[in-house]
Amino acid sequence: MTAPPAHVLLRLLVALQERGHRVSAERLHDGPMQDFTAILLDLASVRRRLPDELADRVNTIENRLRATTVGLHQPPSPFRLDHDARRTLTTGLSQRVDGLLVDHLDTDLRFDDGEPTGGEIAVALAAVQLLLMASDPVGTGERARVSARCGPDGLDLLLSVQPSRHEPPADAARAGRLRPLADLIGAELRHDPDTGAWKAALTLERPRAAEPAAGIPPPAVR
Amino acid sequence: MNAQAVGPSAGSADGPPGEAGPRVLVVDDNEMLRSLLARVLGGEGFQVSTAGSVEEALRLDPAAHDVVLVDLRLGGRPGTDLVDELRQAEPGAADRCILLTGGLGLDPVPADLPVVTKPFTADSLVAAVRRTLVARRAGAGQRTEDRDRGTGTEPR
Repeated sequence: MTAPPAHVLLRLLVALQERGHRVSAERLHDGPMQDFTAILLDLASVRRRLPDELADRVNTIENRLRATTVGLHQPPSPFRLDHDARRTLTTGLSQRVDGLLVDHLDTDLRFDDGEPTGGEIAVALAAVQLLLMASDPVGTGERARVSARCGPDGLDLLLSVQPSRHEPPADAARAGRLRPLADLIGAELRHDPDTGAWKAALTLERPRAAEPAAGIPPPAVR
Repeated sequence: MNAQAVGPSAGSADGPPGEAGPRVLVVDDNEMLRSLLARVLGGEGFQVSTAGSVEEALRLDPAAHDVVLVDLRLGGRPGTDLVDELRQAEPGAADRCILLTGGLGLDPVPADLPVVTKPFTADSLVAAVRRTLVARRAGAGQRTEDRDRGTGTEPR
C-alpha cells in the first residue's frame, strides 16, 4: 500500500508551514533581535554614567524591554522536539489549532502500542487544520477533541467538533464544505443534525514491510 | 578584516587592582554588536578582542583567552565550528565558551555549553562571563589538586 496522493499534499502543507516558521524565526534573529540587543547594550553603557537614581530607572527600562522582546521569540517547531511523537503532536496542535481554529481543544493520544512517524503526525496535523478550516473558514469552533491511537498497522485519528453556538445546528453550507475535503483525504464524516456537532475519522495505514514508502519525507528537521 | 583587540581596559574585572583583567574574545558577525559588547565588557575591566568570523577568531588564538563569546549564526561557518576547533586542539578548551543565539530552537546547541539568548541585557551577559571564569578557575583548581594527589583524570 502506498500513501494516498492527498496525504502527500497534507505532508507538503506541513512542510510549507515548517519552512515559513523557520524563515520567520531567522528573520527575527537576523533583524529585530540583533537591534534589540544593541539597544540594551547601549542603554547599559549610558546607565553606567548616570547617578544612582537615574541609573535605576534605566535599569528598569532595560529589564522591561528585554522581557517584552523575549516574548517575541517564536516557540520551537513541534518537529524539533527530540523525535518524541506525543510532544510533537501535542505541541503542533497547541501551536496551530488550539485558540486559532477552535476556542478549546482536548486531546486523547494513545501511543502505547506504537508511535506515529513524523510523516503520520504531519498528515494528522494538516488534516485536523484543514477540516476545522473547512468547518469554519472565518471564525473559530467552540470546542474540538482530537483522539489518536497508534498501533503497528498505523494511526487512527478521530476529530470531534462542536461548532460555535452562533451557528445553526443543521448547517448545509458547512457540510458542503467538509464533504469534498473529507472525500479527498479519505476521512469518514458523521454529522449530528440536532447539535451541529460533527466527527471525522481518518485511518493512516502503514505500508507493508516489503513495500517501499511512497511520497515525501516528514518535514525536514535541520 | 574585522579582528581587533580592545584594551587593556582600565581596571580589572576580577583580579587585584592594577592587574590586567581576564581576556575575552567576542565573535559576532554583526559589527555594531561587536563594538557594543567590547565597550560593555571593556567597561567592566575585561581585555576584549573581537572577530567577525570563525576564521578571524582562530587567527586571534582563542585558546589564549579566558572566555570566548561566540554567536551561533555567523555569516559563514557557524559558531559551533569554533567550539569544535577548540575541542580538537584541547578537549577541555570548550569550557571557556559561551554561545550567543537569537532563536530558540533555531540552531542545534551543544548541551554542555552555556547559552545566552538574544536579546540579553549587559548585566546578564557580564554575569555569564563571570560564571564561566569562576567555573574554569574551580575546574583548574580541582585538576591541580587531583594531579598533586595522583588521582587526576583525563580532561573532558
